[in-house]
Amino acid sequence: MVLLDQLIMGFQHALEWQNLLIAFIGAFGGIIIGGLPGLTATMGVALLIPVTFGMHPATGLILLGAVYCGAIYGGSISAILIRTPGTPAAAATVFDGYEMTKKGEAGKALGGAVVASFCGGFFSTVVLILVAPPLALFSLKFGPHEFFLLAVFGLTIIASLAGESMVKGLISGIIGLLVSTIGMHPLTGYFRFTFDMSALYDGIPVIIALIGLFSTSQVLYLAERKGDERAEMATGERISVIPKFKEMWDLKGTILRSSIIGTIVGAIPGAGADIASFLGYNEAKRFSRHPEKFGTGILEGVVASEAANNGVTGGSLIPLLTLGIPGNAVTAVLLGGLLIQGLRPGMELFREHADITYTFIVSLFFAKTFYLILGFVGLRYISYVVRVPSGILSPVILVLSVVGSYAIRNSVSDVWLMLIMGLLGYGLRKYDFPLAPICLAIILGPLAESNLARALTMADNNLLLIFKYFVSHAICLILLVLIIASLMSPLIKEWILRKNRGSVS
Amino acid sequence: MAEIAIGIILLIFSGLVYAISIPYPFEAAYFPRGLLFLLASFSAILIVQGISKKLKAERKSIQKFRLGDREKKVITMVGSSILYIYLLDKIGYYLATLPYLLIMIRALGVRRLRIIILSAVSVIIFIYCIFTAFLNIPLPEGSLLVGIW
Repeated sequence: MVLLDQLIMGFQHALEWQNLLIAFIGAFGGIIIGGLPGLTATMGVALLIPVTFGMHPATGLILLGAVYCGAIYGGSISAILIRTPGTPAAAATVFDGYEMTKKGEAGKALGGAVVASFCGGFFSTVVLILVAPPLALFSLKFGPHEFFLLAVFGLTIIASLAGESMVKGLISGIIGLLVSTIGMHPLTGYFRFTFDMSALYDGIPVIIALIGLFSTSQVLYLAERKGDERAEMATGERISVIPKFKEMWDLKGTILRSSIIGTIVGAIPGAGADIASFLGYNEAKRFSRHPEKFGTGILEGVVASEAANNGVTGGSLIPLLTLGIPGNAVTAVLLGGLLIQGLRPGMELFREHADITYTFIVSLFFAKTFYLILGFVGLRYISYVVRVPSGILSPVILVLSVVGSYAIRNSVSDVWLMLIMGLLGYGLRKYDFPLAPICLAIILGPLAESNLARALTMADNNLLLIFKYFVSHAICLILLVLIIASLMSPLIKEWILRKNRGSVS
Repeated sequence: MAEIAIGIILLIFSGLVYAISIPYPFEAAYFPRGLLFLLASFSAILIVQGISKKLKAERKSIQKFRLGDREKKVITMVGSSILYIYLLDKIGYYLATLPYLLIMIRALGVRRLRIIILSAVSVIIFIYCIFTAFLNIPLPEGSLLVGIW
């Protein structure tokens, strides 16, 4: 009954005109960001966090959530129209989406993609509502030892976010952890690596680091491209044609299956929307009556991939809101947005701040509804926007990054910090060091360090006592098992991707 | 080659940061020192990986260090961004941003003047509406101009 009351309250708040407007703007902005090749959902959310400062926490979170959902869907537009996935999540959408465009069925592919995205996202949000509150209750049993292991578990996700080289991923993670040690020590108050600069006393603010790493580094990356380059669409496209109701109804099994896959994959920390879309696509092909047609331009391939990658949006919020464990780079940035509003994940979020949390969750339904509407009504115009030349994009993103980083503490020093983090991010990316582990480490580093310090104090600095505690408490043991499983996950992930890519090709 | 160089830089970096942490009390130092130990270890692995790769494909890695058009564009972008951030502190956000946008969009290869002006002006209007008018977030006014305004 309590859940129902809280949901009704969430609906009431989410239906306020300001929140509906923000959800609409967020969904629209997200579609544009996701649709522009080179811009990602992570970058969009990082860039918009400073905009949420002046807003009510619920409204700010609605904006970020809507951008997240919109961007994951938006990636399909450029995947279908110009054969370039706007986000990695839409990589599997290219296989059939672009083939449909070449056959003159771009509108049908885009229409199918938006309906499947909506269904996948809607399903995962329902699961989020049902699963998150009981899981959050579990977090009440956590003390410093459990929180330390939880942070370590979060950090082991680095292994799965590492990309091609595990060593480079781990180095990125350690650099992030080192960045998180700048400033005052959480227990002793001792200043570390501040070089007597007052701007560093409180450490590098998470949002500054994220804007620098994801937005500014992207600016430099985009600057490498030919500035006036506009992506070309395949000839013969007919954007105005939308799929018939019967065509979509016939694909209900595929959409449901992919939605379930996406939600489960999203809830597993470390496995992102890209894996979900490949898995969804592959399973659809396996279950299909005509698997040989996959890759030749069929609607089933597009909806399978899109329902799965949007299923991740709700699923990935489950570990984030309940345990504070971001499963991928976007949710890591979203965690930064939560913390900056003074909201700590866990039971507190579902009890003390239930009004904010449920308003945010319920608004995800509206954000998805808005991108469904925008997907049908505004596609013709959005398809032009996704081809904006990078020569315009990069200076504009830099200017927005500057405003965003300045707005946090009204300090130009923060803008310099943002630029330094951007240069670091660009340098690392240039030599194939992934950025997501740094982001995760900057956020989870203080949690790991402060709880380790507390646990050590409680055990009189006796490591043996801490170890005894770990092996004699059920939650710690579960977390230790999860840590080991997480460290093994790159091998499993590689096996899944290889298997799916093999069967896709 | 790049991996070897990065590995060596990270090893030196680990040593330097460790030296900085020497005067810190143990409670504040054990966490970063542990991380520095890990960083040094992984840097050593990176160097070993780099050496084995170098032995396999030497030519390819040398090509990465050439200063081509792309690198020049990035250097221009970095240089102009440094100048822009310096200027916005001196002459204010809007006065620094408009010329920055106009010059950078042109410098990055957009030819049509109408598009350049339209893009720069729309961004300025957008930022003004969102940050100044709607959210009331103060933007740098410029230390040189504060007295004049």
